[in-house]
Amino acid sequence: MEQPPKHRIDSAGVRVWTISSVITALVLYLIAVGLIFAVQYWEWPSWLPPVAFGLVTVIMIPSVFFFPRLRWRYYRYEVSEKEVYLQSGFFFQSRTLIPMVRVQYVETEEGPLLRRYGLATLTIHTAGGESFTIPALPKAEAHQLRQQLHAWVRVDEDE
Amino acid sequence: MNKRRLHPSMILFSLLRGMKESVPGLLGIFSVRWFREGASFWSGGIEWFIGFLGIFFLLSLLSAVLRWYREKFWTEDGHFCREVGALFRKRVEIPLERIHSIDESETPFHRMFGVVQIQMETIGGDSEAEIQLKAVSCKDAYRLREELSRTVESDDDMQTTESAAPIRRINGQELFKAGVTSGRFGVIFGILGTVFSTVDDLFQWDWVEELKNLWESGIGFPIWILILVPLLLAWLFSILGTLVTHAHFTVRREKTHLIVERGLWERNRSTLPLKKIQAIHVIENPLRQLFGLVEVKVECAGYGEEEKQKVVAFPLLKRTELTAFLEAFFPEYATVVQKPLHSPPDRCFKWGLMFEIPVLLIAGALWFFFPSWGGWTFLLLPLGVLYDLLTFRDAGWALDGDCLVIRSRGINRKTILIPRRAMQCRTMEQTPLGRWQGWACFATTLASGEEYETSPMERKEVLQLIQALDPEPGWKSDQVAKMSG
Repeated sequence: MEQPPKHRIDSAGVRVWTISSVITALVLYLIAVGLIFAVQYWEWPSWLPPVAFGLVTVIMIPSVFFFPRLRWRYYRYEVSEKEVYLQSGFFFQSRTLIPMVRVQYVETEEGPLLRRYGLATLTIHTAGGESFTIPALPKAEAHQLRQQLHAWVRVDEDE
Repeated sequence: MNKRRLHPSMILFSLLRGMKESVPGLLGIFSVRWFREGASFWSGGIEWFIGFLGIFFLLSLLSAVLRWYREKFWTEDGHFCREVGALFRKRVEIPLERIHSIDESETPFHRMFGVVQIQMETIGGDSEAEIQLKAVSCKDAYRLREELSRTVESDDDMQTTESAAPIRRINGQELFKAGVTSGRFGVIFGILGTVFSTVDDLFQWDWVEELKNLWESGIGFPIWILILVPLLLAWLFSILGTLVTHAHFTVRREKTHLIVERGLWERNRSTLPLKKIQAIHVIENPLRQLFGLVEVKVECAGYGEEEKQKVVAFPLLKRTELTAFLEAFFPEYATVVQKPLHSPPDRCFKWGLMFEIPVLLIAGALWFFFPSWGGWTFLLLPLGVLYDLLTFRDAGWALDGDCLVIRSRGINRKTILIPRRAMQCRTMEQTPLGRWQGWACFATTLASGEEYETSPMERKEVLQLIQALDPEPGWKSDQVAKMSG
């Protein structure tokens, strides 16, 4: 745990997250535009639209231009027969070990955006409904990893 | 255990409940007719009214009888099986070892028929995981319980050698003390507040005006009575509440199971396999801490609802009694609770003071803009520092063998004992400040779905903890080599 996990996720993930942030930003801007009409027709307070535009811009600039790259840069994973080792987060950083004896099942998921870039997300489930994800793996790698993990999952004696 | 039906009193129970639930609907139908027919409501003949009710009653009786007739439960090849449904039949089979706990509850109505309601909790949080048997005769309930404890025993000879079954009953004095110090009056105060505000809405009293009149009328009505009386009332209610829920509180250990019984009006009995217990909570609210009293709860996996995950193991113990109590009922945790705790590094407290700066700024701003009272907000600063000092002093952790202790304070001081087997993952968490200053937190998620985080500790201590809590310490691979290096 002194060292971060070995592998990075696919750098195309940066683009996927950027695009999804842009979409979120557009939706939020649309709502802000809606506020302009609301001010005109229902006489809502006139300071609402500028404040909304300002807020959306301030919040969305980092999540479009900086966060996706930072997230990619600090996300690491490493899988061995014994355990899964993950590092995530660039501001609050965490390193997690999930022993293979605690893994219940593993699944892969591809949203429309991820599929467009040939990526998939791998999710590892443990008891109690907790889950851990490796976002943005190349699709083939994700499927292979899922099969590998399923082969490695064992049952603990003290359970 | 052969196929059997629920106790026939279930028909009565489901009939009564069905009627209670249909009251709003029936009222709706009648009021529609009332509005349409006006005064001639009754002129349609009382026969119409009685006939309608009669048919309704017959139909509900029929469905209740059918449902009772169709519902069967039994055990077979280490599975609990159940068949339900009059029209759509459903059959559920659950391996006995997957059943985490059995809750039995009985109201006086149940007692009249000598039956209990059984609720079984299984692994997995979804609604399918819960099974409720509405009315099971005591004999069947006992047999079911026996059958379940047998399965756990067979794959575990952990504590079977012990012959004495420890038991602990609450006495009147303890019950009273628990009520007085329960601290639940905050909640009840809230309820009283809601009642008060509804009354206020109903009568449209102008309280301020009323009070002013009262004050001026010179009866000498001291204002503090208005605060003290509801507070006292809430306190009394909380004592009563504790008395009712925790009366006859008995906890005992039978080989591999913990059995908790309590209640005056509705009696509850929970049967929990010791092995499935995820953590033990020792809780001290400020009042109890002052008198050296603690409450002990156990956290189980498999309970659907968040709050129900924690079952009270004993409502009130002297702190000095705690070790003996754990030794008797949860030997797994008895040694770790005696270990002295490691405190967080001193520099955490110093850096934590930094978070008082915003308080200082806000207080300063308030003072500047509202010189008449804004200065008082500076008092928040010493209060904040005092609270920081308290939380810092109470925070700590210790490790002993397979068990981790973490202690923290929100308002109550909580000491949580977590065995290694419950931990689903081990995480090191770091804030930017922590990365710079070389401290980190250890966090873990349990099979109950709860996540726990320690107070800050030295980074290398977190790494040692993570290594010590490895479920397979003997495993040889490069991962292990790297962690030790």
